[in-house]
Amino acid sequence: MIAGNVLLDVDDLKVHFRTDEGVVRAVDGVSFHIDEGETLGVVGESGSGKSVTSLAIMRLLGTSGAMAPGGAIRFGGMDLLGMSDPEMRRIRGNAIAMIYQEPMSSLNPVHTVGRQIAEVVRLHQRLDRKAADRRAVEMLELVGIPEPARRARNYPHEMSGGMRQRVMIAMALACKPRLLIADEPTTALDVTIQAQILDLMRQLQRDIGMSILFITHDLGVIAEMADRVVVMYAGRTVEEATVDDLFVKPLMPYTMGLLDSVPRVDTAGPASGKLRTIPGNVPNALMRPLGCAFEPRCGYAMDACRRQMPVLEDTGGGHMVRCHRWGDIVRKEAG
Amino acid sequence: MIHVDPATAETRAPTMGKPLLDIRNLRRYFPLQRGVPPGRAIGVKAVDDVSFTIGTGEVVGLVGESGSGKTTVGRTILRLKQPTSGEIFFDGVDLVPLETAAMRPYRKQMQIIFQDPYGSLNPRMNVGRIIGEALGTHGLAPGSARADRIGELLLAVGLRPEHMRRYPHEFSGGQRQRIGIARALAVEPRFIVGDEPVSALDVSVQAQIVNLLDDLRSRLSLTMLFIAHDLAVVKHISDRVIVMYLGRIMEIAPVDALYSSPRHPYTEALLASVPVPDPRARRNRAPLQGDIPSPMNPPSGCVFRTRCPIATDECAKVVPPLEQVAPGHFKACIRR
Ligand SMILES: Nc1ncnc2c1ncn2[C@@H]1O[C@H](COP(=O)(O)OP(=O)(O)OP(=O)(O)O)[C@@H](O)[C@H]1O
Ligand SMILES: Nc1ncnc2c1ncn2[C@@H]1O[C@H](COP(=O)(O)OP(=O)(O)OP(=O)(O)O)[C@@H](O)[C@H]1O
Ligand SMILES: [Mg+2]
Ligand SMILES: [Mg+2]
Repeated sequence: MIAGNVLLDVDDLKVHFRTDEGVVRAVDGVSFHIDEGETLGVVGESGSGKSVTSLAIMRLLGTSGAMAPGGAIRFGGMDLLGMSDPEMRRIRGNAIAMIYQEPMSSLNPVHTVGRQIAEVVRLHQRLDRKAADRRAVEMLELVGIPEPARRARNYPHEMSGGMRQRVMIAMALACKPRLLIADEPTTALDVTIQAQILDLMRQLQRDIGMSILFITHDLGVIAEMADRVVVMYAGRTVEEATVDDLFVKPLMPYTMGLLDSVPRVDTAGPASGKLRTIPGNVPNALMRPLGCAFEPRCGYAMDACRRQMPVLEDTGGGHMVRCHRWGDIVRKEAG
Repeated sequence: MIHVDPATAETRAPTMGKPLLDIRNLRRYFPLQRGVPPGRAIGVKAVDDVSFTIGTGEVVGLVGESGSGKTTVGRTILRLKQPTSGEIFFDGVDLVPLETAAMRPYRKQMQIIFQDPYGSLNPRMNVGRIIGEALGTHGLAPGSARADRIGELLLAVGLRPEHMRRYPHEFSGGQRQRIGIARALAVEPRFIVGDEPVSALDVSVQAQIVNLLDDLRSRLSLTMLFIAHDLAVVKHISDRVIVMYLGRIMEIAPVDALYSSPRHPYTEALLASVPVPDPRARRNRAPLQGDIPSPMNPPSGCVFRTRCPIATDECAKVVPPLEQVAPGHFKACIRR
């Protein structure tokens, strides 16, 4: 890992949507960076703005009702939000590629999967049709699809959920991106194939120095893949730490609740009784509380939490947290 | 060891009553004939001779490798796909020969939560209409009660009543998945196929949904086929678990037996590959070696043998039958 060279820098990103009900503040202050060759894990509540953040990086929010994003996104020194559309098209799918959360939303139902991969390759690389087709089959083989040449002629609906997901992975990796944004890339895969895909990503990372923004709800996968982790809640970054620090000494009560809710296969005895959850629900994205968005559900909440939004603070060694109570939490954990 | 025909054997847990579902010798082949001369056509044996039962109020987990036929099993049971052959008894009635009209009363009793929420929600309908339509089709919650009922369902899955007016594309992946869950629960079905129903949810919301389903099971005897790759969730919610590989059942067992003493090498490989949520336990997992076989051209004998660490020549010769190794515990492996 070549540490220290920042590849992507997201600074106070804001993405708001105009809807019939009012303005939805989907992303409302997200900051993080990724170094070259690094894997940054992103976890967080369903609906906390993880996918919208990645679509903003890809500049794919066009027709969704999104207002112009606030803040800044810099990639290899370039200002992505200020870039022209043709410039962005050269980067998208090439230097920055994305594995989308829902494969069916980004695969074209009327073309074979082989053709779709080949087209991405031809768009960015000087390959003739035949060579691009060959590359598509190679990529399908790489992601563990048996009889890839035959499968290349399948339409998306003829494949299982996990095969479609691997088609997307093949498409994203085909041009050897510098930054891979992987939004829940392995949810439809069984754990043995998941292990192979994770190995493949690590391999490419070693070979070409690729950086990965890895979004997942699977904390086991995070533990295995990530160097650092960002935790999101209600449109904001609420904690950021190295993977070891996050699992060993989480500082934000939401992160603690999340880690407590993880079901495990290796716990002793029959898995009986209810799973633990974080009580309550996420706040309405239209009427966010003045103070900390997690306050209504937080066991540590005090008056100040209701009145004032905490800032993202460095607690030392790059462990960042957005919580008024972090000092008390550290002392409590220590004592 | 006794050889039992799984189609007639008591493959259900002894504590469960008369099965609500009884699947016998289910097969579903997909022809793949494009560009191939007729007669030489190849097909995919997506589901190949699958038999099992589910008792009333029982939750059966269905796990297995990607492409092994889990979704096809689920959709065929609900007759969203026609089986190539086999029988599907629901409450004692074989659904396979039923015409559309005769099938109608069963449609309300059996629901599915689709694996792909994006593709299963009509993009032109707002959420109120999507759920309202399910209620309307079956004459439930008429008139002014409807909006209340929709709001109630949305709250139950951790969304908000005001989300009724939003369209599917205005939600996150996990929120869309929960709309699919609310729609399936709306008609108060007796049986649900959950096809990866919680895969897009963070662990806290996931726990909330799993607890909700648990609750419906104990209050209303909701019966469920729970398809998932997350073995921890399956362990938590299931009474029994079925493991599939390339269209066939490899193992069926009560949940504790499956996790504590798996008898099939594929089940063992699955359990050994689960990532552990602890970076200090980061280990070098040895993913299965060997070629992943193609369902268009499956290996002879045991379909798992090309990746199996203990396979012998013998394994290429016979299709291993499902054998009972303990009460309710079946495995298809001649080496164990
Ligand atoms: N086009 C849109 N119009 C209005 N609101 C939207 C739109 N797209 C997303 N949202 C809202 O923005 C918020 C963030 O959505 P996003 O998809 O980024 O969540 P996420 O963190 O990826 O969640 P998940 O884990 O469920 O995938 C959600 O509350 C969602 O409802
Ligand atoms: N409409 C179809 N036409 C042709 N083949 C199909 C069709 N639907 C499914 N198949 C094939 O049937 C096999 C089983 O698919 P299925 O979707 O049931 O798998 P699955 O176990 O649900 O996998 P996953 O875990 O990836 O969702 C696959 O090889 C798939 O390609
Ligand atoms: Mg998302
Ligand atoms: Mg499936």
